[in-house]
Amino acid sequence: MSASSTPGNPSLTGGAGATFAGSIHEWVTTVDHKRLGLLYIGSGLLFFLIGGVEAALMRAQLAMPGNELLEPQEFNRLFTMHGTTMVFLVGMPIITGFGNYLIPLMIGARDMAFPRLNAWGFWMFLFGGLVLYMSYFASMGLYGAGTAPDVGWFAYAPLSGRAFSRGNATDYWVLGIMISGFGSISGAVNMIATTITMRCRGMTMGRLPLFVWMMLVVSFLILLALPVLTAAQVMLLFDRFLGAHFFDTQAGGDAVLWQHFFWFFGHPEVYILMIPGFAYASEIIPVFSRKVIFGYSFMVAATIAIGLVAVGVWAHHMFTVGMGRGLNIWFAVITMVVGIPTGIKLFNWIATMYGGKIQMKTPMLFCIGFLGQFLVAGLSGILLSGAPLNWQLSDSYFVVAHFHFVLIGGLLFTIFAALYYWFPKVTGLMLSEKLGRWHFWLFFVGFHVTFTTMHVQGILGMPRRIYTYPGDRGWAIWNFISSAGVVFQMAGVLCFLAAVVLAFKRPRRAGPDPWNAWTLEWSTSSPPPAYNFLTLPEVRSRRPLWDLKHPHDPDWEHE
Amino acid sequence: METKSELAPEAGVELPASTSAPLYFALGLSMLLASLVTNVLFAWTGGALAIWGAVAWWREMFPHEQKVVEPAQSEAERAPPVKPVPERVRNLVAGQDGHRVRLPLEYHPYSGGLRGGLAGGAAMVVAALLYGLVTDGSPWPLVNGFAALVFPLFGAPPPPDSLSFHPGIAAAAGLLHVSFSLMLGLVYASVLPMLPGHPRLWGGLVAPLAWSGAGFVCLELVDPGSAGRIQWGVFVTLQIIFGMTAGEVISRSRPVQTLQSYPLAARAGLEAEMREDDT
Repeated sequence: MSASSTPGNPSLTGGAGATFAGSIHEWVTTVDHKRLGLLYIGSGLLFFLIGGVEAALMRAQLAMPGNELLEPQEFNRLFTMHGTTMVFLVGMPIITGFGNYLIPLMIGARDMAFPRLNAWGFWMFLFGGLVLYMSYFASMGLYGAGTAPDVGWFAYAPLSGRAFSRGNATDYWVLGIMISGFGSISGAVNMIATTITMRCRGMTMGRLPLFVWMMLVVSFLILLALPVLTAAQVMLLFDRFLGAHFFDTQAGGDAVLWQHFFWFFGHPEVYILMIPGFAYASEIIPVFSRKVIFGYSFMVAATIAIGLVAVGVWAHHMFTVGMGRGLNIWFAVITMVVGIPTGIKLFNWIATMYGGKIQMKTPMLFCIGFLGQFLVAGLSGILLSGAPLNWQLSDSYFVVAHFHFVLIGGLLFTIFAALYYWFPKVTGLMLSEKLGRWHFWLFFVGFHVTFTTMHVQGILGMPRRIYTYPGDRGWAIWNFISSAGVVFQMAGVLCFLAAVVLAFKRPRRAGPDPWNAWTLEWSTSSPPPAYNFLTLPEVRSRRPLWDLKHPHDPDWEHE
Repeated sequence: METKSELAPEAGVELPASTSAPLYFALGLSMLLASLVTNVLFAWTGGALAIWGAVAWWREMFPHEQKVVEPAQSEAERAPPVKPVPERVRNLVAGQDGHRVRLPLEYHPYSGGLRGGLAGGAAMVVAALLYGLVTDGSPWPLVNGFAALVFPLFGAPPPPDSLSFHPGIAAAAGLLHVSFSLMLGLVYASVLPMLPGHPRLWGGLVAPLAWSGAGFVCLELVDPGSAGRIQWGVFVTLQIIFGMTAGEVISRSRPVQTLQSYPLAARAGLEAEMREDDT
């Protein structure tokens, strides 16, 4: 099949004379993987601000005992929307955005395998998010009950059934997540096809950057996990609209079935979010340690092992359901097994830094913060994997502390590291190192003030999702400290926003390779042209730019 | 990395053409699904948009994929070719400047760990018996105290009194003590080569103090009753005696080079000898 070609219209391809309307048209019709990546990341950051405001409101409510800042119903809606937003509308688009932007550049390709499907995936994600937030304005429904959904981010049946969730708020939750889920599935198909079929000459699987390897594993996990959630959501819609009884216990349905379906998606989802964080760290730590990654093949094997084990641990979220001794033991043991490949990764990152010439730039600071915090997250996860302790701590603030250590201490710190690391490639401009350091330290202190203390609240018995509490439980001081930490975190994020604004107001040119890095994206201009590479590269090792910079000691002689 | 020329790249590069079809298709499907909770107008509009988007998408691909020619960047805009750096690379070699390219370079044999564990355990027993003789006139109080602390964990009753000799209890306590000592000896043999500085300091002082401190904190939380029955000064002294003896015996064992520098065949035991240049 031959291609029909027309000359590119300069006004629609970023020419200097492009009008505002032309620019908007250019962005909404784009199929370029880099622009779609930026749209994903930009939308994710916008939702991050919304989800952050929701969290801040909840912390303000809990800062003092007996507080009446928020109504209980409003608090329920806030924790539902906060959790749903952060997982589905912040974590997912940002990891997909980085994957979209970087995979073709890293493997020496000009675009993703299915550029139009890529665009469709982004729009499905965005419209899914908009449908979810439409609930604030349009979900009064037939019964006039509720605004935003209030069933928690895992929407346990039968609470989410028609009998207990009147109106349409829960339907907005189901439909919004389902629509954005179709986008995520299409994105996963695209990343797998791109990685398998579009690598440049010499880019064998054994030479793939670790970032690409990890995104490949994540894509397979998305294909395994998300359709299960979608199927469960369709069943829930059947229950709610057509009078089916999948989860209706009074009519022979099974409420635990929803939990199994949800967590079969929900736990792999943790790895879907976290493995990209590993991917960013695996690219950034070697560059700022001036050393090759330690144990490349073990890193790949550990990632695949995490992916395999991730689909076998879901019911550790359900120890308190009463599954029986055999299942409890199985899920406790297999959950502890996850610690082995994850530990291998942690040791490898530390071994990469060992003996290196470490440069404490902002991306590296965030990665070092991630290493310590993710270790704590992993250790509290091992604690929670023990069923007897889990019975004591389940649904307490200890669990809230644990998963915020994973998703903020782990994922968000690496996302910030990635933003500082690849911002010069995307814009051609450097971010302020000074503001970056302020960002790191404020966010680091704020994170620990908020979330380290939550472990104590949990051990003292404070349940999650309560909108207020009496003053005689010993929780008040810990809650006040937790809430105070939010101020530091918000100040940190403001530093980041200021750094971005300053980068455009007082531009400092980055050049193609400001970090003296080694993967292919740094060989092209910053920002890269639409076609990425005028001539497709050919590589002979995992660090092609190292080979060019050090022809007397190329990597391919050692690999 | 090398670069491979394509047909006249300077003329520009063909890329997929921009299109609004995916946007309309996604918007249509989203409205169609959202019509469940909004209005039938959403369904009709969404359906129409989805069909329009799908047809437009199809026409983008068939009979020929729509593409545009993206003009090549000017020479000034392009990234300059990557140049070799003047600095030479200095590869790490074993033992250079305190860096170790293999961790650990050597390890103690397991037999050394077992011997160290037995020796440390024996020294601890001798010290415990002497302590009992001096303070209580009987060598058995610490043996019985150890049994009283540990036996209930295994569902066995504690000794009836602390000063008498109970052969069964002494034998069982001795068996447990030997097991613990052997395990600790193996841990010492594995861990000591990886620690910086003098192994006797780590094995004799730091490690016993560390596990005594951890034991004290944990026992106070988990079982305050048992914690109150332990004479912590004596406990720590005995652990140090164990640690110093075991560490001394283990550090005297002949270290074995790690196999990481050996060729696969030698590691697999397929070759009895190596050529010199294989090492």
